[in-house]
Amino acid sequence: MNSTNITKTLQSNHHLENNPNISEKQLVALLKAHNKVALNLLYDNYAAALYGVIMRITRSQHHSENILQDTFVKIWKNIEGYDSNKGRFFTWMLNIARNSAIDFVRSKAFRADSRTDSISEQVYTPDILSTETNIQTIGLRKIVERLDPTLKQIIDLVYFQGYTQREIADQFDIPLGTVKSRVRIAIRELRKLM
Amino acid sequence: MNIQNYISSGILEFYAMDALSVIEKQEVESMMEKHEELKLELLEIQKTLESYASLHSIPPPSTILQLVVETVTKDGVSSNKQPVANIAALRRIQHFKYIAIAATVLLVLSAALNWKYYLALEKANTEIAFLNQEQEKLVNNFNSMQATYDVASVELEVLQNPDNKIVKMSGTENHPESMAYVYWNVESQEVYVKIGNLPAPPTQKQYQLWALKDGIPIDAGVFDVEKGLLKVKDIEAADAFAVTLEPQGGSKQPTLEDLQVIGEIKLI
Repeated sequence: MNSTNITKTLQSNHHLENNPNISEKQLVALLKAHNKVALNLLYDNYAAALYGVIMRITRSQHHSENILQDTFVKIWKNIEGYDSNKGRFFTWMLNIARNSAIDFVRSKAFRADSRTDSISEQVYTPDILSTETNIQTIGLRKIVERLDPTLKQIIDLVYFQGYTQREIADQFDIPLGTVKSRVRIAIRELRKLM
Repeated sequence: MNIQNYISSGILEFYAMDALSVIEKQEVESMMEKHEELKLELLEIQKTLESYASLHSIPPPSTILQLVVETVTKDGVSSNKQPVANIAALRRIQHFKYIAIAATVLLVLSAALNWKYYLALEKANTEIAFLNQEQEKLVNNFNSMQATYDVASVELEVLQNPDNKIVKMSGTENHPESMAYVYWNVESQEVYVKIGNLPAPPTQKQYQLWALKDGIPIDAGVFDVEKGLLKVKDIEAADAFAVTLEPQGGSKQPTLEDLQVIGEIKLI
């Protein structure tokens, strides 16, 4: 990855908050008005982040391109379902992308296609792969180096592999309440690091 | 519930990661409506996760934007899509309805025709059986007529033959009602019996014809009570003929006590 991309990636943390031309609120309003200009703005500001998350989940460029396209179409069609009282717009879009990718990875079609391990096998596979192969940016590497590996693994299992609280509890052999508090600690640590 | 404890539980983190059930989500949302601090905490968590997600950013191929624009332009806006699908589904249902009605009508017609043809077939079968019976009767009639004709034609031939002598045998005192004829061909020596009136013989008994020449009885054979001419044994010479009742198969000498009919040959 070249230096331009790295710079872009690091800047993408800020997204529209630092965009002098348009706010997240205005973008949502444009989308709700079915204004196609919004698609361009959406793409410029969020496509890389959404695509990166989808790639992290599917590990397949071909499938990720299809899912990203699908994600943008879903955002366009379901924009009425976004309620700013229930959270941030970027989070809402990320969840659409994540759910699409996780659903796809769990589908029979993908498993037959990519000959990946079944979900149950993944449970017992240490998350070394993701920490080694998906460190795409200097920013991520720095974070990962300073975050407790177990905490990172818990976040990634929920966030990138769609694990339920119960599955995490079984994986680490800990009570459900402990699962939630560990995730809370992990995100608090992340917040500090960023 | 203590709000600080609620925050510490970690449920907001799972809400932010969309990893809760529908019911759990609704609980969190109703809690957030009541407690502004929960909403603020959620926004912080979401920002953190957004930053974490953004760390994975990879620029996608620019062609995808074009594909998205094409797709949403082709589909139209979201609000239009559902009704189109519903109308299409409705059309399919109506289409199916018409097919179902047509199929039902055809089924009823078919059943009616089947019944009609079944009845016609039954009728035809009955007629065929009846006609078969009629034909059998006619064949039987014909056969019996043929037999009668055969007998009659033989009889006629015998009667028309000038070489044949007709001997009428009348009933004796014991059997005054009885009567029979003998047709005797002097040239060929053939003899036929024609029963005029003889009662059916008792079981184990049979009628026997005798030729009498100079007072001596000559066996001319046994015969049963049947219609037409009954051929018996040839006779060379005779003055008279007589019939007695004898045991089955006949006797060597006539049982004169059972003499039935007798007749002398008259020169015509």
